Order: sequence, then structure tokens, then C-alpha cells
Amino acid sequence: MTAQPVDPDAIRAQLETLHAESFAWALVCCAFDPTEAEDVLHMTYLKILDHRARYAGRSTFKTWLFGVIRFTAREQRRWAWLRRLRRAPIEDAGLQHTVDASPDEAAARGEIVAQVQAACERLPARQREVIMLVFHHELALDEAAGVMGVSPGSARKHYQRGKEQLRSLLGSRFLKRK
Amino acid sequence: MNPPNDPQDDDLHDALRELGHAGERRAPSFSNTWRAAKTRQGDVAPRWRPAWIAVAATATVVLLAVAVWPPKPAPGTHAPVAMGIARDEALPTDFLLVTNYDDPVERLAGEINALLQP
Repeated sequence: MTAQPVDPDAIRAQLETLHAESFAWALVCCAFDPTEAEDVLHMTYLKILDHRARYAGRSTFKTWLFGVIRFTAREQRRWAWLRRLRRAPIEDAGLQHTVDASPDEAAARGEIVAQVQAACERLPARQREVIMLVFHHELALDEAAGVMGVSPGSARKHYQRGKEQLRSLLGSRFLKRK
Repeated sequence: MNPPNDPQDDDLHDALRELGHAGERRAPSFSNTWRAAKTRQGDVAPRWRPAWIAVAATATVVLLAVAVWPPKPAPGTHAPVAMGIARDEALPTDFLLVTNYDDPVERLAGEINALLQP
């Protein structure tokens, strides 16, 4: 199957729409390391600009993009030691974090987020990925399987096990309080 | 079917969405990330990755080869007479011509051979 020609401006617009969500997904793929997630998103955009990653329209744009992000994260983690040696200072120059507008709001959410994140970090990678794809990014299990490059049956198994493990890690008291 | 529709999962759903939104709020601005990627567009560094892999693989093979097969003198370097003297055997006998410097007998044969050289 040949890739369909896609308008670069349309791609850019879709990337912009999905940018925050893409960063959240990159965080999940990088075990919640924000610096690594930035690098991954940066490399993902670079791949798209260089046409090393092409959208062929076989799935939704979001599913395809999340698949590229996941693959890039795997690749980045594998070569992290080499990249650290070659890292140019310019790579970090343009990226600035947006900060929460209200410190009170951040404090209120902080406890919950910290507990859930700590629990998620203890899940195996595939369980963590499918759980976040389904619950936060609201993908169907088939789409999540497509992003992760596994069969739908395998994704379902990881999903069920991930839910059980997450419940036991968070504890019933926390979940009821929520 | 979209699994989070199960009401039993509402508690997990809320907690994980909160975590996801927290991640989204930390996202760097799109324009900065996009501009940084555009700046590096066409950069040759990523394309050199296969070359790096080839260099690393070659270096590994060479190191392994050196470690597993240390260089040895060519077979027959030492005269049969020297081997026989080193083994304290009556001559003539069935001499081993391949030198192995890990073997004390052969090492001694090598030294005797050197002394016998004109």
C-alpha cells in the first residue's frame, strides 16, 4: 500500500491540536520523565518533518501519532547513553514548561496525582500504556492495541491485569475517597 | 466497546484522567517544540545511526576475536628437536608442531628452539 500524500499544513494543525495530549502520552511512554518526554516529542515531530514517519491513513491520525511516539520513546530509551554523549545544548534551548496557573489548584490535585503516578510507575510498561490509552486518551481497546503493536486479545489481557494491579496498589480507601 | 463505560471503573477513570490532565498541563508550547524540530530538520545526525551501529558491531567483533583467539606463532615454528628436548623424550618421536604458549612444555620448546637457532 502506498502512502497517501498529506498536506503538511494539515498535519501541523493536527499535531498542534493533539500536542498536549501527545505530551501526556509521551510521559507515560517515558515512565513520567518530563525531560525525556520532551525529547521524544521533539524527535517525533522531527521524524514527521523528515518524512521518516508518514501518515498513510490506515488508522486515525491520533492512533498513528501515538504509535510513532511510543516507538520513538522505545528507540530513545535504547540509545539514551549514546545521546547523552552527543547531546547539543541547543536541543534544550527552545523548550519551556507551561506552569499551572493556580498554585492552590495544583496543591489540591498534587496529592492525588502523586499517588496515582506512583502506582502507575509500578505497573509493567504495557499495562501502564494500555490503561492510560483507554482511561485518559479514551481509545477503544482495538485502537490501543494498534498503538502498542500488539493483538487486541493481548491488549485486553494487559488492560484487565493492569486494572486489577492498579486497584490493589491504590487501595480501596483511596479510590472510595476519590 | 469502550471499556471505561463500565461504571465499576469510574473511580479508576477519574484518578487516571486526573493524572493524564496533569501531564497535559506540563506540556511545553507547541510552537517551541515545532520550531526546535524544524531547526534540526535535515540534520544528518539521526541518519548516521546505522553507521554508528556498524562501527560498534565491528569493534565488538574485533575485540571478541582478539580475546577468544590470541595470536599464536605459525605451526611448525619450533624445530622437532626442540620439542623433543622440552618433553624430555627420546628422539625421534611424534612431535607436536603447533605451538601453544599456554602449555609450559611448548613454551620451553620455544625457548630451546631459539637457543638452537644459528
